[in-house]
Amino acid sequence: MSVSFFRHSVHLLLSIPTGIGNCGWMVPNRNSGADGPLARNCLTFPCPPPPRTSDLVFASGVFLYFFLPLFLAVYYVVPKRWRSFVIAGGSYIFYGWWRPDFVILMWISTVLDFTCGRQIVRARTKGAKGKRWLFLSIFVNLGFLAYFKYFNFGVDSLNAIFATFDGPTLEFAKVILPVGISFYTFQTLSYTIDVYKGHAEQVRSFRDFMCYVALFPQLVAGPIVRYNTIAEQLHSRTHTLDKFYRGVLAFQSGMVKKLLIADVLGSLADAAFANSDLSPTHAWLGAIAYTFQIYFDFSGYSDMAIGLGLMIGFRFPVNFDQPYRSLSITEFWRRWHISLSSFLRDYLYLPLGGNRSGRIRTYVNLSLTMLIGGLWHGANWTFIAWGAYQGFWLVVERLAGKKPLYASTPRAIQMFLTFILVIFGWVLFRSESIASAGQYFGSLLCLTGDATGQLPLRPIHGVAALAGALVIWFAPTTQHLIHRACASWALPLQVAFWAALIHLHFVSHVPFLYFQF
Amino acid sequence: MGTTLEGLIRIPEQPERGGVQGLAAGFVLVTFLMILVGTAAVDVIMPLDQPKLTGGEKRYLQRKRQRARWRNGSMARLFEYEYRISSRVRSTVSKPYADFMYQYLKETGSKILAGDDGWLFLRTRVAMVCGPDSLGARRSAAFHGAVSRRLGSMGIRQLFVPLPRKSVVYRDFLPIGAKVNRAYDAAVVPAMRAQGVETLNLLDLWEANPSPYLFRQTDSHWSTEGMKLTAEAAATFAGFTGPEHKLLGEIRRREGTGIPGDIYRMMSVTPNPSDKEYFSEDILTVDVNGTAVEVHDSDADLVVCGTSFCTKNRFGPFVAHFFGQPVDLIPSPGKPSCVSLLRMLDDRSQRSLPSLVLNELPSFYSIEMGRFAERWTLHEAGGELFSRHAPKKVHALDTPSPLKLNGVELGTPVELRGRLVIAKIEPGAIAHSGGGVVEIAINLDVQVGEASLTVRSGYNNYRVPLVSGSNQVILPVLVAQPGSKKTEVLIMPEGKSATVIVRAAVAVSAIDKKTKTEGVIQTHTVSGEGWQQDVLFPVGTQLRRHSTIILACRADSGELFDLRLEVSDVSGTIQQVFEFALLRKGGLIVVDPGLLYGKELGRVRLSSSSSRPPSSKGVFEFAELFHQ
Repeated sequence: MSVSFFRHSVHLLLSIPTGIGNCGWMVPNRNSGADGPLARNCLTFPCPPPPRTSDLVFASGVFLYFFLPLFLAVYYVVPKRWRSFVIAGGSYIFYGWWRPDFVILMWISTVLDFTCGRQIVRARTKGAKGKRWLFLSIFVNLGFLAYFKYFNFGVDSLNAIFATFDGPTLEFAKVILPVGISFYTFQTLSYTIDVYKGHAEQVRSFRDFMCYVALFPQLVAGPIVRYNTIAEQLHSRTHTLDKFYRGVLAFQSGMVKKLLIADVLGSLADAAFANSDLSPTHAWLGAIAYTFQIYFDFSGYSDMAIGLGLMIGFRFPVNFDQPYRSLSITEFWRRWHISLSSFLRDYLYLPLGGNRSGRIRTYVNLSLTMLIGGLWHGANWTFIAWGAYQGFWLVVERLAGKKPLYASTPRAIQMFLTFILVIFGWVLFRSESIASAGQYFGSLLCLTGDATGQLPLRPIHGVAALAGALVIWFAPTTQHLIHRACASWALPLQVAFWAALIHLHFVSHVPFLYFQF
Repeated sequence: MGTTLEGLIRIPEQPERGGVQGLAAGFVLVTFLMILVGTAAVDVIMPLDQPKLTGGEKRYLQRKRQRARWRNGSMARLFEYEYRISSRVRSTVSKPYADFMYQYLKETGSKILAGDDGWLFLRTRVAMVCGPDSLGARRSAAFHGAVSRRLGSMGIRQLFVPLPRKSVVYRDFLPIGAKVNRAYDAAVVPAMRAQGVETLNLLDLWEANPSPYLFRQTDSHWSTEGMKLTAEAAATFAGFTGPEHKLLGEIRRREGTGIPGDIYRMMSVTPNPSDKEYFSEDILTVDVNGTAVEVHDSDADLVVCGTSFCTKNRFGPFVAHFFGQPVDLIPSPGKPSCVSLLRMLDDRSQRSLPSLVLNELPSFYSIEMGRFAERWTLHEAGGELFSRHAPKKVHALDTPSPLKLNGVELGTPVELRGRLVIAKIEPGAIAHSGGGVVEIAINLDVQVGEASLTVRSGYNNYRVPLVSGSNQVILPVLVAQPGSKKTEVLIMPEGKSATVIVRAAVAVSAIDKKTKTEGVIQTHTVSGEGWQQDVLFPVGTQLRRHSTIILACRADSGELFDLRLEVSDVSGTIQQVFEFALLRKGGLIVVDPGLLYGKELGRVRLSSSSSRPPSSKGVFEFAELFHQ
């Protein structure tokens, strides 16, 4: 049994090579930290080269020293009316650096949603609603997402079911996931839906829309910028030295978070989740390391995106607001990945009925929204389980009157217990499979008997964890830093930023975790 | 504070600037832009020289450059790589930072593991992928066995010296959380010996003598103590008693040598003078009965081939001392063993060939050689060795050829634009123990262009460049176990040749041999399923090194499954057992009972408990034992 016909048809339709027939790894790879075998200082023994991606990340030499200065120079030299073109062009180069052919996919999405938006407005002037254009946009955008993100998962799951009944195996080559497709697909969808609902005006020019879809600072890992929040800025935004300065501070803050905390603790988290025999103490250390890593990695990226946006005159939405200081899971979701949770709220939870259709329906809507939110993060049962887990706690807290079960305890205890619940969630999120997550929970809860595995703990992990803890629980947020922009924070940040730059030279390739979502 | 009602980042509309705040802002902006632009300017205007690469690394980079394309991101990767290695700023700032990280945080970068007590290990040598049952070691043993046989046919005895990994011998010093699998290294020696390769067991020896340290702490190579112990053990193993060595000089341990070690260099770390470094004084003097021995002699009867472990150090002199004779040292740092052997054969074939070669090779080469055969260059020079240094006497087998010609009319000139498979051996056509005894002899006449002959068997692959004109290539057939991939013999255009015209004249299966003993097949009746046959060789048949038993299956028999071949000594004790999943009709069973070397051969029994085929009387028609 083969699905090659379907694949072939889709390819003909799209005329886009998807990497099928290549080595089969999905990119970007969260663990691709190793250098190739030819590093200058490598021992002369040849080694088998590890598979690597080449995404032009913010924390890379090529981006920092070549792309960014050149882009900023061109951006500020050209007349204002050309700046959106410069952004679009620069974004295509940024995005196409990884795989130029996937830019075509973005162009299709851009042209389609621009056309759909225009047709919806045109239909409205004729007294119709333009529903078919909305459906076309939803169908094509979600179709892309389903194919590129969930095709492998679907076939693998079917094969697993067939294997249970000794059935045939579907043969297929892996589909490569285009970086950031989840983010820009949601953004273009938000435009069409907002125009359809009348929440947003039709975009003034195709140039602005290209700029909106391709906007490289937030293109590949968010924050998800909805059209109606940025529409005004697309054609009239201010450029001031003060804004640029604040952007630099935000960018620097993000880079420090990413390079000096997230990446350092990432090696520990990788080791923890690769070991199935960890002692309970080390399992906890590994889980905490990942909890820190995902926050600093993702919020670091968001900070850099916000900073780069400010440098070119944009103000993006805030994505994190000290989430680990939350006193409940409900509050956690108001502080974590805010742009996604508000997107899911407005485009999924509320259309499903929100909390206006009775208690049971509210719980169902909450659970469904979180399940889909989990699936959005990746094509794996672990993400679905993570979504279900988050939905479960949201429902529980809703049942308890929008407060946690431990609401009667002191604030510090509430914060601690919420943090523990979040850690359990991240274990599900990070594990390769449900089985390995179960194994990890066994280690955390001392259920694995005589497990003695240890993590390669090094002094630098302690330093990074301590710094991370201070930032999480005691430092002001990045938005506070940007707003105040005072010298007492800006100058120490410079030292940390220089250290991060040197560290960047010291280590090699550092992809962001959220590129894969 | 910090966000608008829409959730956007908030910027004060009338920022207050001036005084300290203004100065700070100016400082931040200027330094930020200066760093970005300045780094780019320095790296573009004053890039570092390209690193001087050799061997496999050089070829890897050349291939990477040739194949780089923008469309699949490989050009971008190449650009990033080239930038990294040519960045002067990176090179300048990395060194003091690496120093700082190592001295204060014991950080070593991604390639190194910092162990206890100052020990440093290469990460790739700790966590190796070998596969189930040390598959890599067993597979590579076939190749080493074929090399050993080829050398043997030229009258050269090879003593194979696999060096255990530092991380295995000193695993107690590994950092917490790092595990090393000793079984991989331990599998190398028995696998080699089963192929008839004389192999020194250094792992047991070194583990029994761990101190003084046999490896240097901050280097991936051995210490003088390691060299001395190895040379002494090799001489004893090979039966050399050496001279009356009352004077070797003294090996002293010294501290704070300032000798960085290659791992320090990889980390860009400047050695700390207070670091202990177990490295020995080079005060060795070899003295034989009062007469100084000439250590190096390019015509010596004893040759040491190997890698960086035997270059510019005391291993050569130690070998010379313990073997009691001069030594010809031919190291090829960073290259697999065949490069050294090939250099030696090329160099010495017009003069006098040595009688003994000490072939040093780190165990991880042997382990990974089998495991990563398809993407490694570890078989580098193997094909050239086999083709350039053919056995002196080749005997065409009386048995049907297992080669299946791929529809190519041999003798007719073939115009070649892409690769052409001229022959293949189907899985199950040769069932052997993994050793390469059966050879194929191919005569090729390259009339136009440049071409190469490639043998691909899934885990032993090698390439032979063909010269213009007549070529005779005799290659060992290292087929995979029955049931796995087929072996292919291909001709491919080389260099810039768009068109190649080749005439393949002869392709026969052959064996290099000196004498042959024929065996008589005796069939037994077995109760229940299956069948059993004994092969009776004349009483007193002595097994020599690389003796080879070949059993030919009748062309009219069916396919045979689950075969078991037992080789016993005269006392009836089973010494070696070979198992094969499948043998096609007309196929050959080829085994090298290396563990019986020097002993008298007893019974050879072939049996199968499989019910397929149901009746298989007389499945084998004749058996031969070839002696090298």
